[in-house]
This record gives sequence, structure tokens and C-alpha cells, in this order.
Amino acid sequence: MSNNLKCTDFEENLSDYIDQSLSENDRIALETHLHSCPTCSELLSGMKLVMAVGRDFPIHTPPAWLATRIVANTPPPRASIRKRLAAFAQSLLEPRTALAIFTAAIVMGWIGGGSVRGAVMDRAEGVVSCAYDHAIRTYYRSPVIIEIHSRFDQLMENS
Amino acid sequence: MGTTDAELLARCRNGEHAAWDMVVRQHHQRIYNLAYRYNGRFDEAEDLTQEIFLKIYRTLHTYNSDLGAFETWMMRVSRNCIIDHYRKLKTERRQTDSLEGEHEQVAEVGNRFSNPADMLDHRELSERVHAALIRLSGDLREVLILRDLEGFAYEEIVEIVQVPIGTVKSRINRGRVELAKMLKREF
Repeated sequence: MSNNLKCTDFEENLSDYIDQSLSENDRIALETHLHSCPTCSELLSGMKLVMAVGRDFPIHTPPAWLATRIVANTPPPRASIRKRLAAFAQSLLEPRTALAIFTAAIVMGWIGGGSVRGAVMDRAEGVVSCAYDHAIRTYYRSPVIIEIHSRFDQLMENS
Repeated sequence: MGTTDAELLARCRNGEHAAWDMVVRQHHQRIYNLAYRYNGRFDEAEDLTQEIFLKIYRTLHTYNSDLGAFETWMMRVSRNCIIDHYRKLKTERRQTDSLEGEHEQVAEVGNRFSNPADMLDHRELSERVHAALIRLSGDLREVLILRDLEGFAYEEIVEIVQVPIGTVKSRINRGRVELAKMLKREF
């Protein structure tokens, strides 16, 4: 830093000067300028005042209800899928849930177990027989089978 | 940040409401003051404090104690939240009105004193400095708040603001110079 310091140079280094982080030469250059420039001298005083005020800035106490309001407005955390599955499995193992499932199974079996099972079986049998009929009809109506059968009949008559 | 606080955060992450309650009560004064220092309005500071804590809660899982202190991380989240808040307000053209209103209110108090020496009781001076601080550009204001009001070290400010240390130092110096000049014009 030259000894013919300008005010702008002085301003740029003012914080470093206050923090005492300038080299010896730079400090001397700044102080030389400071003694000859009332504007910069005033600026230095102003900056020191600003820093002093900043250090003792009043600390305001937030309203007593603020923390309570923040906590009350914090949404409950969303559990991970793993945790939710674990909770579900845990609920299944609870005696109340097991008893409810067991009771429901017995009641359903008692009310409609037979008819339900019968209906399902009837339906299954219907589907199978329908498919069987369809296959038989297709077999006997196919031209190849008809030809084979007619040849076979002719052979029987000739013999 | 001691072990107790680390445990507290772990409990918060596990969804323990009581632990979160303790974190809020431990830190809300600091966040509240930070918000107030940015905007100079108590009502906005209250809303901002809540907004900041909700953000902290949502992003708590991203905090890594190996990368720095909880307080520094919390201040970074707060600073980002405050900036986002005022960016939104700026687009709605409401920020200027509220800050100017606040400043005029503070300036009026100051104008009652003809002699600066009479005026310079501590509270009065703080209000003047705060009013001038609010008129600084956002970049300068935030580093000045963090350094001169909150007392953070340069390295911590680098972490919070995420700009190089040279930029931080230069902004702090420019902010102080501008603030000193503003106050000089007022006196």
C-alpha cells in the first residue's frame, strides 16, 4: 500500500485496520492518511460506534406463547413404510385384533360358509362342463373328423 | 453443541414431540431476534420464527453433525428461509412499504433531538443503527447481522452464507462503511 493513500483505499481496509489484521506497512500508511484526512477519521469513529452498538444490540424476549404455538403447529412425523408395516403387524398380534378376526371367521363360516362353498363349487363345475361340451362339439364338427367317420362307416358297410 | 443436544436431535428425528419442544424452547429466542434484526417488525419476526422452525423440523434429517455445529446449520436454514420470505414479499411489492414505515417511525423518534449528544442513549442509538441496517442491501445486511450483531466468526459466516471468505470480509467492510455514512448523514 502506498503512502499516498486515497480515501477509497482507506475505506476498503478499514475493517482490517480495526481488526488489527493489516501488515505493519499497511497500518502505517493508513494511519498517515488518517491523520491528514478528517473525513476518514470521522468515518473510523462512526464505524467503531456501529460495531460497538452491534455488540450491545438489545436482545428481545419473544412472546411466551410463541414456542408453544410453534410446537403445536409442527406436524407429526410421517412414519416410514417399514415402521408402518411393523405397526400393522404388531396390531395383528394384539389379542383384541386376533380375537376379532377369529370371531369374524367363525361367524362367516356359520352364516354362509356352506352355501358360499357350494356356490363356488357349482360355478367351477359349470365352467368345466361348459368347456368340455364346447370341445366335444368342435371335435365332432371338424371336417377331418367327419371325413374319417364317413370313411369308417363305408368300410363297415362294405365289409 | 454437547452430547445432550445431539441426543435431543436424534430423539427429534425419531418423532419424539417432547424433544422437539425442548429444541424450540432452547433456540427460539435467537431465531426470533435474528428475524427481528432482518426486518425490524415484531409481528413478522413471530411468523418468520415459526416458519423457520417448521423448515428446520422438515429438514432435520439433512443435518450432519460431522459437517459442523447444529447452531451454524440452524442459522443457515434460518437465513435461507428469511431470504426466501423476503424474495416472495418483494415480488408482491410489500416489503418496501413495511420497512419504510418502520424506518420512518424510528427516524421520527430520532428527529426530536437537536443535539446528537442528547440523543445518544443506548436504546435510541440502537434503533437508529437498526433502521439504517434495514436500509442496507440484503447482501450487506445479512453479513453485518451475522458478524456484528450475532457475533459469528468469518468461517461460520462463510458456511452460513455459502460465499468465499474474501467476499464475506469485503461485504462486512462495505456494510460497516455504508452504515457509518448513513448515521453521519442523519446526525
